Amino acid sequence: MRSQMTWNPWQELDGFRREVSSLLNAAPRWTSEMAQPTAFNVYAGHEGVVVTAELPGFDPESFDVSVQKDQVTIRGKRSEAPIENVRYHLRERGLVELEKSFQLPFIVDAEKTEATYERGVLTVRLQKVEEAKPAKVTVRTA
Amino acid sequence: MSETTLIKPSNQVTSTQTRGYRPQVDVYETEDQFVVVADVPGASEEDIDLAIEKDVLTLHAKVAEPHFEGYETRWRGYGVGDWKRSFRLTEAVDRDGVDAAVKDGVLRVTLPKGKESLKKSIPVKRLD
Repeated sequence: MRSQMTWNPWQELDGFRREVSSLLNAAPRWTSEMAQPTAFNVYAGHEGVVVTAELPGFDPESFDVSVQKDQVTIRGKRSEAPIENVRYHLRERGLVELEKSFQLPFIVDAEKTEATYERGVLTVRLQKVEEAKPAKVTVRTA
Repeated sequence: MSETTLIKPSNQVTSTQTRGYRPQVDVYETEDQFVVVADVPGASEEDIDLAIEKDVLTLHAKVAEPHFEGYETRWRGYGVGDWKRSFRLTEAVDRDGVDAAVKDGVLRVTLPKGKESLKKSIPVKRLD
């Protein structure tokens, strides 16, 4: 009798599943869409925010960050061509295209928006327009 | 055609691994090699430690939390930390021929099949 057996050679030993923690309660107006499926981290400061996203294997040329008032849209595509005629043992990597919009709690200065892509991480710096920044009031004494 | 591989699974699980995030991987097989493609965003070549010890291929990519002067974390959609994952290799892999390269946070490891696992046609003689 002929037997057909297929073993998975890539027996995984162990490992922790990626845990996604969200500080939802601490975030006043970040929409919940930001958490899934592409997760963003947001760092806030007086000047504005820095948004980072892990987008490994994306085509740097494909990134498009557009700003309209308090709305930010980020687009990008993975650059890998599909591989054919191979036998997959594991296929977990899924994200191939990104299009994400979110609203910030301030008007963004489009001119000062900067985006960098390094080591598969997209970093977008979004600054507040001048008048939106907190003004420093000097209290004079009589 | 019947297919029997020279590769055996192992149910052994070690618990010595320290905390880390598990990278998403694709593993595929061609005629002459296995390819592991791992997403390790945040890591470049000097951050990645890839080792084969006995029959275990271990990937450890160090990733540090970015620091932006004057900014503090407001929203955490994903955790930042080292990527760790291990695979049990088999007799069928030519360890000396293993090659690895990383680009834009994607690590690609090629593991050539050992000679003994490559397909070989056996000529059949006729006995008169």
